[in-house]
Amino acid sequence: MKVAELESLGPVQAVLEDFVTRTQSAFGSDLASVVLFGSAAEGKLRATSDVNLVVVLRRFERAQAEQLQRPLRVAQAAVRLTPMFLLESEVPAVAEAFAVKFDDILHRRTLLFGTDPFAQLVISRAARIARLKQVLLNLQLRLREQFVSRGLREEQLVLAIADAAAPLRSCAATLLELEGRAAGSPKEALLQFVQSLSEKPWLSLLERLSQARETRRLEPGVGTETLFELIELTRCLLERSERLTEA
Amino acid sequence: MNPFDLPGPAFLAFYWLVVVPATVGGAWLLRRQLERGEIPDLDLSNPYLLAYLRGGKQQVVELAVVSLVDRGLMLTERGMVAVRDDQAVLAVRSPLERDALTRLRQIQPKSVDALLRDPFLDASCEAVAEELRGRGLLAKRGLSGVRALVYLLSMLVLCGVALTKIAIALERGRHNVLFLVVSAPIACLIVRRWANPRLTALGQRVLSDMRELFAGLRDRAQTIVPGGGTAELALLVGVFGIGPLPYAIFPHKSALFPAPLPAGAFGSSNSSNWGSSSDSSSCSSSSSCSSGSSCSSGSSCGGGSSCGGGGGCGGCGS
Repeated sequence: MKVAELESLGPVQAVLEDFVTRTQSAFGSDLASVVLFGSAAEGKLRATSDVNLVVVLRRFERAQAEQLQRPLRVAQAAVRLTPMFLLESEVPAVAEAFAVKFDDILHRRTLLFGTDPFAQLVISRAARIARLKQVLLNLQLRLREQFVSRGLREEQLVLAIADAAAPLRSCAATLLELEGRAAGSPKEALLQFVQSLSEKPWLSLLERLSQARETRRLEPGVGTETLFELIELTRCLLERSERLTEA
Repeated sequence: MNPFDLPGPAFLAFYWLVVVPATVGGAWLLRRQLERGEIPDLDLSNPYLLAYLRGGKQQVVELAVVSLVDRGLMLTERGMVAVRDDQAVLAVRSPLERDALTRLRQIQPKSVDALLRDPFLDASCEAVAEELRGRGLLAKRGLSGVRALVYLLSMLVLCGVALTKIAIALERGRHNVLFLVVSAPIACLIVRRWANPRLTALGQRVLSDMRELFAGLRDRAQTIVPGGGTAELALLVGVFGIGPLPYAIFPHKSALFPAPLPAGAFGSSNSSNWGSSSDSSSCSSSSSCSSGSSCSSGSSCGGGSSCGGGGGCGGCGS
């Protein structure tokens, strides 16, 4: 699917088209491909979503990159465009190092320019498990810190909750896949994971998580409880990931 | 019915209610049509172009102050601004910002109002204006080109109708034509004003496109991370003015840009005049909407330190 076909993205489409054109113009033959990933690639972009791109290059030259500085600042401001600049030769190593993110890219991507750099990409199971645990641990530490540092300010807690949604969902998708139970989207994966837990009714937590992500607002008084439940949910994901075997 | 056969008062009514509005409307449509063109390739990363397009020098000065204070290159205290240090001038790339900081160093500390009155940015602003004129977004000085043609045609219509009626009246022995003699020049002045707005039709279209392009930025203004890491804050102010700029993101807003308090702001228990800083969605265009509400210092906003820490765990985990 090319940018021109991304009609569901509305005004984002024009910004993407312009940015891809300018990237081509800046990097010329050193540009291998441009890949859109995440919710934008699924056509499920929300007002609060980032627009994530992977720009795969053959070389990263200063003069070429400088040509993209201004267009990127405009695109960032207009649609929260967040590009990742990768060299072709780095793809396998980066995919192993950031396995959860690349797991998501492998599942939700749209090629905007060039040839698909991830078509043949295989991320090792060991790398995915290791990275899954690392991301979950990272998230747990961050949520604890935010619970303590922002706990007195409800509106700040909501932002922390909203920011936790994407990594939690990606981790759930990776976890289920590693368990051999592939889910549809990362959001569905988290729902599926929550439904598999018998300890606590987490469904309302997921509703609040979606609400915070989409509107950056929650009902007054529920932020503290929600953030603490997210810490618990992260712990559950981490516990399940500990049971994964590398074989 | 021939309108030229109407008696004096009825013809005057016809002139002001039909001829003048039709001519003004026709001139406006004709000018819009003639000033149309391809959207030029404007450097959107330069918020000063957009600020000047929107409201001229005042908007440029306000944007420069917000952007430089946000980036820590300008300091603010008690409603006055000053340059951080000698290095600040060397740190900026924009000629306009360099001019602003250089001049401010000579006269600091100064209020934003005083900066606006100082001619220090006139040359830089004129350079911005010239670029906008060159791209057909800002009207050229005086009445020239397409606009002169439209105005001339309008004058011909307005004066032609008036002179015809005067001639007919005089021919019929009536001399009470003074009101019509006065009306024609007044109508011409009105058309001149309508025929020569500050922006061209293309400029208005670009401004409207920019507001649409950055509508999402205005909606998520509360989430902008201060400090100049991105162009978000500068583009927000460049495209929409300081109205939608949240106090939490720029706590100096009310101190630097005090808005005159509306009558009765303190007079009742209804505190609607002290509302939130970020909902100026209707406040998108002119320089008159520069300061949003009259909320005081924003001291409860907490400094906008919303970016969290991450507990030292870096990487691209999400």
